[in-house]
Amino acid sequence: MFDRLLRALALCGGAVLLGLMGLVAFDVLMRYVLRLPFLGAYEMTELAMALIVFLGLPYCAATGGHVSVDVLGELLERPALRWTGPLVNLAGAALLALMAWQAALFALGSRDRGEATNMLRIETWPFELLTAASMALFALVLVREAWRRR
Amino acid sequence: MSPTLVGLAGMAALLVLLFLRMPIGIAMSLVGAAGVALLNSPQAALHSLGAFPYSHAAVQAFAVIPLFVLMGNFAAVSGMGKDLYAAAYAWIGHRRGGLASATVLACAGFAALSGSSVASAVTMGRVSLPEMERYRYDTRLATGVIAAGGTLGILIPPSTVLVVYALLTEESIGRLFLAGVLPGLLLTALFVATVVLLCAWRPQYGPPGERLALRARFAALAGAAPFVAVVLITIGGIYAGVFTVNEAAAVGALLTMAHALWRRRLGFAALRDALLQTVRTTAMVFLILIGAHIFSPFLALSRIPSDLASVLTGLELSAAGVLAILLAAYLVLGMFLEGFAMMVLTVPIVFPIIIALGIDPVWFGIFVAIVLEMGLISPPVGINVFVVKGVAQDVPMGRIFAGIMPFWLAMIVCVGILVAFPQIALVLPNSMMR
Repeated sequence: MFDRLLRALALCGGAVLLGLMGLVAFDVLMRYVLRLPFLGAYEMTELAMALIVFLGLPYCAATGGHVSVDVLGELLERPALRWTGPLVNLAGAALLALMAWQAALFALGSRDRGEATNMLRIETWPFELLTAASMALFALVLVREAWRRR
Repeated sequence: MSPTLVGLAGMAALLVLLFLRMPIGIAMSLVGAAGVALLNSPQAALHSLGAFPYSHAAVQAFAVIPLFVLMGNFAAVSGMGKDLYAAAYAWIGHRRGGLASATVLACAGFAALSGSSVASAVTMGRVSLPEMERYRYDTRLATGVIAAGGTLGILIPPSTVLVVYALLTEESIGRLFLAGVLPGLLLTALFVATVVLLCAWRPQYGPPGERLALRARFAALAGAAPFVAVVLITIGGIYAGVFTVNEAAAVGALLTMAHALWRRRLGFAALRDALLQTVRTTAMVFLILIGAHIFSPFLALSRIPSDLASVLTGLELSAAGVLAILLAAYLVLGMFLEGFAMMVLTVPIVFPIIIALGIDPVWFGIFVAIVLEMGLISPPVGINVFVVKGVAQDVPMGRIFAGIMPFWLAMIVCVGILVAFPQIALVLPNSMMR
């Protein structure tokens, strides 16, 4: 269930990416054919990047996509050292929970200041709040991983 | 505690966490935040944890990463890799070792569509390994050439590694891409030369394939036309100043998608998988980038990079001497660390030294890319070797590594040529039209 949610979020990120591809290509077309640069493209790209990265982050974690160093893999799987796996996962989860909390504070701060993009005046706080939610989901993935490897 | 001592303790802690298999981005964030809390203030550390993930992801210039990754994934679906191999095979397959040389050429071509070595090795491995087995190629040559050829993915543009290097050092992505073109072709030529020499020495390693009629050769060459069009439009567009890097990536992704649709290879399931795979790779790269950005203020506060730079310049070593030391250090690190990890960990430390020595930062990016490629195929954790092992499951690891050795030596030769003639990397970016 949880995995399907993360996959659905990542697919939403993929849909945003397809849209971004279309947007940038359309911007090129507008500039060369109609000589009409699309002024909002720059900031829409910025916001799209936030969506793509943070919708995909927990899915990447759940599917083991984040890069780690595996030189000592066999050594760490020995019974005497098995405890390191859950411990490292929980430490990561704690850090990500802290990041989620700080990112939420950052998002609320920018809502209070009314921060928005330059041209289209799109408010940025919902995107920043998504960052916080993504970090929180990432933390949950790591807690589940620690539980599985206990 | 002095800043230097805190810095050294932090780096030791980082290495311990990495060897305990903590994801690189998380480990760098953890140590970086702790270090900033100690050397600056806990408030500064909390701010970086809260603000940096968003502010280092929501950047217009970074759109090049998911867009080029998407282009590579569409190219893998559309069968362009197979077309490239068929074209190369048609012209040189009948020579001794020809299938292996064709693999190198097809890898180089696929590298121009894809920014990842792993994707190149997987795609070309699936296409060319069965062919080489059919003609009874020596398994060492067959697997070694795929593992080595796949590494061209990070040297020939577009390259994810060069994008990350550009972001870490604030160099231009377009200039780095163009700087990779000629060294990439040089390395391709050196790989082909390695195959030819090996097969001259031991003819049974690479028996000749079937000779095709001229008409069939041109038909195969025409099959590679969509590939040529995409590469000319994207990389040529960047060189000619027609496209920004982002625009080239978006247009390239759109064209490869159109090609895959036209070939009826891109159904709903394939599209969904390509998107999921792209988003996953993007998230992987950005977690590392975010970690690197949280870590690098700590490194700067510890003053280790600037101290190291002044020590090394004080020794009055020649630039070539320093590069030789760095090459040795990277080769050792490459045995243990994954490419991205090695780059985000070392570039912030090494870069001030490079600048102090007056070495061109774009040239150094190419140097780092080649050295990382060597790490991708060195024992015990060369990632491309595991990829090839996944395709060629009945070949023991030892034989794959033995097959890689000659190509690894060719890479050393390539680094030597680049040190002697830095213009090979710099001539294209320096003549780029704006």
